[in-house]
Amino acid sequence: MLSKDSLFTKYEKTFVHQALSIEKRLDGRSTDEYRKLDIAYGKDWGSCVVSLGETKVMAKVTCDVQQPKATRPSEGLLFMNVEISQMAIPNIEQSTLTEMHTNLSRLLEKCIKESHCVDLEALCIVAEEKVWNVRVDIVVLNHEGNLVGCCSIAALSALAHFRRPDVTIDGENVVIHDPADREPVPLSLHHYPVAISYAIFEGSEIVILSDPTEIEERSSQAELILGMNSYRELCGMHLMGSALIATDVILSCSRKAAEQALTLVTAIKKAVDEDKKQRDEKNVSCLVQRIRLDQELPGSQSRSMLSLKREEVKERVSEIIKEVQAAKKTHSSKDDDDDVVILSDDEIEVVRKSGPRSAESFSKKKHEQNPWKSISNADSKKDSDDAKSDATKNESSEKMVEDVISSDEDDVALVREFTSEDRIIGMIELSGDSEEEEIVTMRSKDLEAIGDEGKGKVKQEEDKV
Amino acid sequence: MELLSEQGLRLDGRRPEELRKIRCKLGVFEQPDGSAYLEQGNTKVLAAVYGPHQVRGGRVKANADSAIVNCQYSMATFSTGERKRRPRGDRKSQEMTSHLKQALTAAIKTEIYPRSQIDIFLEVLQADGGNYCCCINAATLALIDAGIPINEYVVGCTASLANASVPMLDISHLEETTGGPSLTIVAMPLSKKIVVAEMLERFHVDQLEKILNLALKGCQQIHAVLDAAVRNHMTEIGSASAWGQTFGT
Amino acid sequence: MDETPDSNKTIRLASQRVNLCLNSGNNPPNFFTPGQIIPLEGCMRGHGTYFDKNATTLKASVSGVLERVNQLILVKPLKSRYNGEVGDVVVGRIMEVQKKRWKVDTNSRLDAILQLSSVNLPGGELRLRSVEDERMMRKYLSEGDLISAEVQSIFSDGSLALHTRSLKYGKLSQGILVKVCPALVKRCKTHFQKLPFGVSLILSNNGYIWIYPTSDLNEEEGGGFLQNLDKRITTADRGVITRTRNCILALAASKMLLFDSSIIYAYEQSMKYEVHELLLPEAMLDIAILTQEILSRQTDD
Repeated sequence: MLSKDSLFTKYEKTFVHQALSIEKRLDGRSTDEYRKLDIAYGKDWGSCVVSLGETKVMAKVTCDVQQPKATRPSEGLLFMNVEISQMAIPNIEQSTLTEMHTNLSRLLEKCIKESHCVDLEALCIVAEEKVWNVRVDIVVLNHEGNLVGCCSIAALSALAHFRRPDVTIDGENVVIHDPADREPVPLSLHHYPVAISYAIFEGSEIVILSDPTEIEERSSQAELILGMNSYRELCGMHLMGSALIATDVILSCSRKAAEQALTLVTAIKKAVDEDKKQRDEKNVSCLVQRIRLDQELPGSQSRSMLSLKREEVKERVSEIIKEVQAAKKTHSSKDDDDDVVILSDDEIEVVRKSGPRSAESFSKKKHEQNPWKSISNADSKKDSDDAKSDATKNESSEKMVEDVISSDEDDVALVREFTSEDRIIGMIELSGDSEEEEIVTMRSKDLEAIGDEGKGKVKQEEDKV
Repeated sequence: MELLSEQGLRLDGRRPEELRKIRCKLGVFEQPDGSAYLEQGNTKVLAAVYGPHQVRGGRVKANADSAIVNCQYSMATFSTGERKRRPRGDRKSQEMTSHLKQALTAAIKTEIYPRSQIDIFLEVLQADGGNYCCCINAATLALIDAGIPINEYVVGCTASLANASVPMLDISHLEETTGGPSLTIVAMPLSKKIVVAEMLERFHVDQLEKILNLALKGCQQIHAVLDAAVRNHMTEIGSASAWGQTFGT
Repeated sequence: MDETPDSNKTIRLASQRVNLCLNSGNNPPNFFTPGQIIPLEGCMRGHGTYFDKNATTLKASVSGVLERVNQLILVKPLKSRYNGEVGDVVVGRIMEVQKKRWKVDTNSRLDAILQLSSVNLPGGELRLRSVEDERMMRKYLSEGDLISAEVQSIFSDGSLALHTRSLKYGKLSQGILVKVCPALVKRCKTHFQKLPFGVSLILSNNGYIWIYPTSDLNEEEGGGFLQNLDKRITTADRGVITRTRNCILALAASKMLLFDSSIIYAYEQSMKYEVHELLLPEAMLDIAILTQEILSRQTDD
């Protein structure tokens, strides 16, 4: 689903594209890799929360008895309802949300309802009079890409888990047994179709990413969604976007999707079995127990961050450390706000002498277990900026420092703070004749430091006032 | 109902790989910048294109680097067997509108017209299967009539599978409702690129290539018909004005 | 064709529709349609063409006739919106009054701009534009007014800048506007035509044709912002104007070029019909055929 309204800069887009051109995804996955799938069942039959990475969806299946449609008198009814609100996608325009919702519900209907996955004839109680009406409600809790995929997994997991009350027909009388009296019966599913989503990037060569994150979806040129079941059968397809696709791309995707579907369906079946086992041991878990606050909050660490492979990060970090060391030599004596202490090749500590303390003290509690001390975002930027003139390199190095922290353990907190002091010392020296050189305000002593090294491209506008 | 008879003929007597008869005409209206009428079997569609023109109603919508494409899909109340209550605005036509918009935006060279808007109106007069494809085909003709630069003809075509193995081209309403999977593609037949693909129901992955290729072949056949119509139209209207004042005068 | 007794409305079947297209008999040139490869090498890309992704082949993006200016290749569509050129005479309608400028609809893809500084204000040609003038802008030209103007320059985004700094341009008062396809207006030395039967025309390049009675006054006075709505146009004059309009419509329906002599010939041929009869497709086709005959006879001579 492409949502275009909330702020999305072209730099973010270029960054994704550039990373892909060297075969890197922002979260370090390979092109065909799925994020972590987690299916958690609730206390009721047919209620589950499915999370795919940070995308979270809740599904609940309910049923009641209704009159069948006149055209299909001996078939039960299946109704699918998707709810998506600004809770899941903040800062989105209502009109875009509505369009997204229409697309999403149509796709799910195509994938699950129109592929006849649920045996509707088995839902018939008395033909032309009473049939079961199965209703699947899907609520999107958090949108972080591949919403269709996540929703379809949720719907299917819920349907596979759901059990309806048993019915006995005694002549004229229809008895619907209370679940307490008689064990409820599961629905019969013909097959397990899941939607598999691909983001297609059209550059010098076509790159296809499975299970795209939101930022990848937004920067891609086209999306291909394939409904697929474990028998390598296609149950719905949807290709949209501005990219022009050759047939072989679709064909190769469909082959890949068949493999992927098999693993997903196996995971769903496994989750159902696992839950059954738990229930047999009278160990019913509530959804609440499965929800961990630190992961659910939008400010949680693992969200919206880059993560790269560890070795690469180490390499880069040692480079950064060297740079920091070099930078420290040149100006640490004059910079009395912060102090960078290099403890070893792997450790940096930034000691702050001013600026807000509250956040930092919070993070210091966790320092003990972690080789990394605290690296304030602004500090590392300032230091590395000093040493290097290439602005883009800076950005990436800075991000990687974050990654080491985030990819390691969950209990490490990253402190990101900008004090007013930090902003003033924006010693960003851009290459070429950028206008920004002229408008940077600096303190005079910093200028002296730079001037000594002969880097002084920055005009000294702010004479001693 | 059997989709294919023993002789290998379809419900309406066509062979599996045969298109319905296409008749089309460009420039059917005076007022719009471009217009077209297209019949594919019993499906009949009118298309009108206005623009490119200044974005009206709030400059917020205007795009600084490309034109906005605005579509409206509407089905006449008398177009279906059962009278339709609302010609547009229901969920099906909203979905159609958004799909049409995406396919046509991919075709139009929008970057040539910054801050402008192109309106495309489509009206289904009679619905007999393949409405979306007919709309795409009619819209392409209308865009060509309006002189709006497009990458290539965008052509839509449907295909299905009979008896789980025989691919069929250009399915009618009867075949649509009888069952069986249906694949809709919008393609650029000259470069053989696919812009939109939609599929319903289910079939084995191994069949996909066969169906996809047949649909693509159908697109190429439709392209030939449309191209002939465009050339014929140009000969008719260009003759008296001496081919856009370049020849003869 | 059935004629209902009490009105002059006619109802006919689609199959009985008159095909208004004329076939002049000259051989059609080579057409290009979108996506078709242009088999020329080492050329420059002009309007209506593009290079495909790997920049190897030149393709047409519109359907039309190939035109070659030295190395430049363009494909010109037979019908399109008005593409302005500097010096063109246009007729336009005021859409919006903005700060120091008017937005004018000229049938092009973006509204044209008429700056306050590029109009002749009453009372002296070269006086400074004061704040007072800005306040009075709507007095001079307000939304819906028709003007004639000349294209002064073209902005980078393709919108036109107009000016009316000549007395022949300005606000239009009494007359009829006919909209035709811009390609049908033939480029001439002058687009202000005074026809012999008491009708004047502005055959503007953007396809908006203005038909107005020839005034006895000095032509110069028509310019500026004077709008003489008090003068009564006689019924006879009105008849002549509507006849001219219908003749132009007849020619346009058959996609014939519009210029002074084609309109005069069409007008002469139309005399055998009543004015209202000129709207019948048979009559329109008849006039178009007759006009074409005269024109071709003339070129033969």
